[in-house]
Amino acid sequence: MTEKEQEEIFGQWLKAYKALLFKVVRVYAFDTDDQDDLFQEISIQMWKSIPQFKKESKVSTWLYRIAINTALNWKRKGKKHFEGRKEVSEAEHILRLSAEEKDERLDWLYTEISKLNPVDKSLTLLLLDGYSYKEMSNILGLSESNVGVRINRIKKHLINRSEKLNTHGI
Amino acid sequence: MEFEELKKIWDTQNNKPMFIINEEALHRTIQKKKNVASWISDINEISLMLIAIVTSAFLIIKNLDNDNIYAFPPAIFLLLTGLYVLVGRIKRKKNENRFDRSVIGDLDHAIANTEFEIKRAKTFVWWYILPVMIPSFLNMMMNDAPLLTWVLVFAALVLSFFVVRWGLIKSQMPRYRNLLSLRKKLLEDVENTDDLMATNAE
Repeated sequence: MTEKEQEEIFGQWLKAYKALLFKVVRVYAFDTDDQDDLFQEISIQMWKSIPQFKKESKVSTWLYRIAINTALNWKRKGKKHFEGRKEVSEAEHILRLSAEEKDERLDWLYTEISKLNPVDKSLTLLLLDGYSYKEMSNILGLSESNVGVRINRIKKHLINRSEKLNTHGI
Repeated sequence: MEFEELKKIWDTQNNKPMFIINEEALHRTIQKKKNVASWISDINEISLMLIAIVTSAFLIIKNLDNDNIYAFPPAIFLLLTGLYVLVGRIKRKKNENRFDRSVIGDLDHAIANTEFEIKRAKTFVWWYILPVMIPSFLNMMMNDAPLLTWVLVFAALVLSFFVVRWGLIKSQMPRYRNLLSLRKKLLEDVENTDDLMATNAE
């Protein structure tokens, strides 16, 4: 694959799947510098993965796997990342918050997801984006039955939390 | 709120992206960072290969014009270890670009690889330094090698020892600790769920 072809595919993927990447970034990184840094890491891994993509899965499944894996590894490299923070802050920002009107209910949902443990965060993202248990199991490496049990627990938890949210009137 | 309602809230963001990407800056960053690999591993492997090749070439050239057959086994052994490091490096580079594993599968694979690297680095004295040092020193003693040869061979061995220790302390051990801690964090809850499911099945 030539670099030009790789660049073209990268551009297409970025355009078509940026919402997917943003979701992972927002669930795993909380301030703008961190979100910028994580987005850069995911983009670089996405770029590197292009020649390896054999069309055996959907592009979105492939990208979710890369994005979640990168986010977990990015958390693991927390210290290094912190040391590089200065460099990130001084560099030009890649992400800018869109001027769209804020949706309080969506903000609430993100806050709730970000409170979950790392595996449940990933499962919730996949669940809300309509992935099957089998796809989730392939992406994360858990058994389908384990995915099922956890999904039931996550659903119950989110529904419970939403009832409290309704009581408090957002 | 029912789960379907939560999903509707979630789906609202698909038509109004929450961020705007500065594509030019992203492109520049990717160009700058795409080839940056783990430089400690790179330095470690390249140094070991260089030390092996240079020392081996030195032993061969020094002994070409005399019939000292004892000089050649350590030289060949050094070349073989250089080759071994090269094969390991190619394998590692290939693995760096694998994206088809699951998240937990990738983590387990990374842990197994790091365990192997640590074991290799910790036993380095036994499989590299001693087998090279003993025949080299015997050979130099039998041939009354000049002081410079002693110093160079000794320095090469000491240098390779420190390069490997440095890689172990600065790169492999911290990486291993981080991987284990992430695995623990990720799987603690998964294993608890598995145990619970097994108990329920009984």
